[in-house]
Amino acid sequence: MAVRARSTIADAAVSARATTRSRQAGSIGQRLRQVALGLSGFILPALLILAWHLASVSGYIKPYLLPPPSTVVTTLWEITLNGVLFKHVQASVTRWAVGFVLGGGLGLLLGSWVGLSRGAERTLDTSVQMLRTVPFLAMAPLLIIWLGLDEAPKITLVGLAAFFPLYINTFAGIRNVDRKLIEVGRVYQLSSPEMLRRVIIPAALPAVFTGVRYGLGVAWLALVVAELMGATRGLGFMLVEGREFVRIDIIVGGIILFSLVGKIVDTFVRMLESRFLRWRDTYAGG
Amino acid sequence: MSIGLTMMDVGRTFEGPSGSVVALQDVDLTIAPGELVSLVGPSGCGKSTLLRSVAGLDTEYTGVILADGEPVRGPDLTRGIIFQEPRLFPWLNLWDNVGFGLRASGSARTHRIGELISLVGLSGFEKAYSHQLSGGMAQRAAIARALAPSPGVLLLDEPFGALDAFTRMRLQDAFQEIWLAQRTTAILVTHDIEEAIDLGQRVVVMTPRPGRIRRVIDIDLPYPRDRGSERFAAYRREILGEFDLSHAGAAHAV
Repeated sequence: MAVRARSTIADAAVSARATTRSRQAGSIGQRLRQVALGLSGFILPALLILAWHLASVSGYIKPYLLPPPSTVVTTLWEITLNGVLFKHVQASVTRWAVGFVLGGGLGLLLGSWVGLSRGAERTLDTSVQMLRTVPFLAMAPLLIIWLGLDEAPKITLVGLAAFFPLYINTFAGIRNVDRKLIEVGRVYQLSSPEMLRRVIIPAALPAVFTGVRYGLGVAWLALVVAELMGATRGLGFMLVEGREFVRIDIIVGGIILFSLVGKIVDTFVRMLESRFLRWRDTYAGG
Repeated sequence: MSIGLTMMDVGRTFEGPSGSVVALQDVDLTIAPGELVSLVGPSGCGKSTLLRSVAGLDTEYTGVILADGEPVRGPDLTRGIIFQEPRLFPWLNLWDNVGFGLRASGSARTHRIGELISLVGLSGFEKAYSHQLSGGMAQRAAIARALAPSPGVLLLDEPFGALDAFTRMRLQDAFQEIWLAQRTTAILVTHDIEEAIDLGQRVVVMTPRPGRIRRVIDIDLPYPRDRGSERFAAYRREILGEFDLSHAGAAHAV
């Protein structure tokens, strides 16, 4: 009976591990190290820009095909100062956000409904899966004829792009909720709304986040196409304008802006993700 | 607080692709308020099916199951369940997991959760997520969660079965301490004969195909029980005998 003591070495080891994890963000030295590690992702882009610069000044790259980085930066700076850049970025980001919220929101709602109800799955899922096989970009000419050249076709195209990733991932996320946890919810007599809020939504959240990030990416792509087809403002319009005036610096600047804005938004969503999903115990890479 | 359970002529048949399987047949058992009964038997003897029926998680049974005189038609907060796996919610920390089924709010809630965490010996781990807990700690948390709504019956479905031998012994002890202090009616389903004798006031021996009660044995030993004693061994031999495992070779193998 002497073996049956309560506290254990194994338990203590686990506790030590738990506290180191929570302390990790603590000291200034470690925080600096984290910043340095975060910046290490910029080494490769910096080297590429350096190579581009060297190739330009040595004459390897003709400036009428690709101007040196300094020219692109100067141009970007000019249009920042005169407000043109802000106008275009604002137009693009607004379309992106509105389209994503509408299309992605609908995907989230329908995906949840189909995930929760087998009746809805039977009625809806086949149709949605059929529509999914249509490349949404092929809808663009049709949307222009139906909805004109204004904001509506662009936002619709962005929405279409965002719809499917949200729909599919939400549906899958709900269907992958551990049946055993649902049973625990039943044991504690949760009502259907409580079951949804306290068990199903948190359990499906990782999959929904995957859908959000993927959906934002595809929607951004759709936005470029929509704006290239005809717009009077927006980053895509900037590219068209650059082509018409053969201003390669504007085109390259526009491309860089597209990737910058996309990256900033993705970083923001990743931050939300790690805030809401910090309980996850997944492989972080070796 | 503790409530009694009555099972009369309980049966359960599963319809499978290869015909129907009788998982439970003719089960009659009465458990007094405050009693701790072990259900022991090999896999397929219907012990877990019976427990799930009493819990209200499986309502397709035939016959009558009464909890506190009322027929069981579904889960109820007066019947707490502890599964073989801890089944903690991975997105909740220990504190919120323990409080999951607690309806109380405010200071009553805080007090109750703190009390339960200390009861199962997990003070200091309130903020830990389930993946940061060892198997034994997670199962302790599951016990605390089941105790939170102060159930009148505790239903334990092989709660220590997935733990290593040392952790299992510690948890059996912890559970015994809690039960001795609270005297909540409890059914412990297990395939571990020693565990059944160590903890149960009565041991219900079940046999498979079809699952039915073979014998009910009163364990007339004071708590805490000495597993090395001659009388403990005698009970063990008696129960093994019910499974036709009484001949020396098989008994030693178990």
